[in-house]
Amino acid sequence: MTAARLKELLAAAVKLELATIPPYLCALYSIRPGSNQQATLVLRSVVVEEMLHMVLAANVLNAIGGRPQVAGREHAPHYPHELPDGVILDLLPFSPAAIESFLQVENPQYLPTLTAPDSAALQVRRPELHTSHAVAVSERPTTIGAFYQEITETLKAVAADIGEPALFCGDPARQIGAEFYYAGGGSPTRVTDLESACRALDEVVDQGEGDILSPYDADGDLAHYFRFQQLKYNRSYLAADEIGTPTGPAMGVDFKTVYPMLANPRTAEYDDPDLKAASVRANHSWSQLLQQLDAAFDGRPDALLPAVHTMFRLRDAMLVLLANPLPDHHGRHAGPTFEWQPFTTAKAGTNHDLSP
Amino acid sequence: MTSRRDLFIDLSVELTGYSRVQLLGTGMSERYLQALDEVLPDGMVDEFLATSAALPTMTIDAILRSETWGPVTRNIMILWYCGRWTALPDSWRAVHGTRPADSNHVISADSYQAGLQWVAAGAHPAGARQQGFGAWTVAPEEAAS
Repeated sequence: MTAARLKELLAAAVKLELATIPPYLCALYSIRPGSNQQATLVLRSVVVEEMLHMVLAANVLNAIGGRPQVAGREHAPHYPHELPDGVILDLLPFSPAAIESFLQVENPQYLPTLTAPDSAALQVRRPELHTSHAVAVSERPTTIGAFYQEITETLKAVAADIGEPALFCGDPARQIGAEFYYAGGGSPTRVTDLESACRALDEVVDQGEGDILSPYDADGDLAHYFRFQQLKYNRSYLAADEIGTPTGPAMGVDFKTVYPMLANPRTAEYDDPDLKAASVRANHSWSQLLQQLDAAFDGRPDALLPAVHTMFRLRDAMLVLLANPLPDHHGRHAGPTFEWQPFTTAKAGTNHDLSP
Repeated sequence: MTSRRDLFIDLSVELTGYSRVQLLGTGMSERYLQALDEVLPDGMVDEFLATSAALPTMTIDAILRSETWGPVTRNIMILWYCGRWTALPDSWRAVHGTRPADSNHVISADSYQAGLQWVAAGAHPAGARQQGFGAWTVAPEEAAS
């Protein structure tokens, strides 16, 4: 149990939280305007909380003198993306298959319905599988829950071993506080000691899986897992409902009013030069966003302010792609590819830097 | 055979200066074609699309000068840029008649947000699709690249 091991685990946790975001964004923005309003609210609420989780994990890592990294080919997530416990993140439109995968991400004990009805899109295309750093740094097969448990236990053990002041030696100026991170799933905890570190990590686990016996978190919000159950069953939870059996009003889920995005698309698959250029533009915004996050996590928290603008540019670029049918793909639509392709090294219309 | 929507998009590429990808990317092409069907007399939309399919032998200038198609064409430009329909002029109505949908109106909340005016200006629809605090200090993407 060493601080070095802890840094390795936390660096992987930051990337794990980041990796969950693009699949949620694909589901969110594939919904056609005016439909699936409850599902839109659920997806939006979850995705902004994943952003908060990434910031919380980064704060813990910075607090112990580490350096969170999310920019660059080796740090940015690639899809399909394998998480601990064999959970695979695909880029999919809003669909039964996507919801099954979200349930699995938010509760690795959940066994997906392998025969999820597939009205909206996809035999899943997985030409190559990329493995999460969280899998690589784990010494044995693990679940996401167990992965975070190991982090918390190691934090406590190392703090007991070398003392809190020695462990929490990071520069407090590297912490992301509420002045730079706002309106995104809650307020980030500044981490300076063991108590605040545990509080930050508890929030990550609480908002996600929740306590499997009590679906509500400390703020009285449904944990992610249970929000997705509401979409799966197209029923909202009432306060008195048994866990696993929501009986409230229908959620208005309609998988037909969705752009049927190609699963795990690649820019290289877009033959139309204008479509390729639109995909490259989206990748420029995505890569710039990761560079800004990287800077924010490396002592420049104010880099999060322009990152918000980049995030909205990425959203607009995603919406353009999703509304475009792909002539050679049986009615499937284009979608964001989330490939590492920074503006500085790429020229629009080329894809020389898209090798995995 | 080219579909109605494809004919409409091909014409709109000429009228707006934006690519097919950008126009389809607004998500509004079906809705705008429907708006035309609601406003123009029966059969006139298809006649117009057939006329425009003769482009580029029939130039945009010629279409704009046409007493029949000029006002409709100008309205389609406004439709894409502003997401709104503008009532056709009285002189046009006197010849072709009036439909109830031919009034000044925004097509929908989505069409307001999807207007190409925002893309052209590197701006955002006021009250929707915010760009983030301080976005006004960042050059529009087209200007920066």
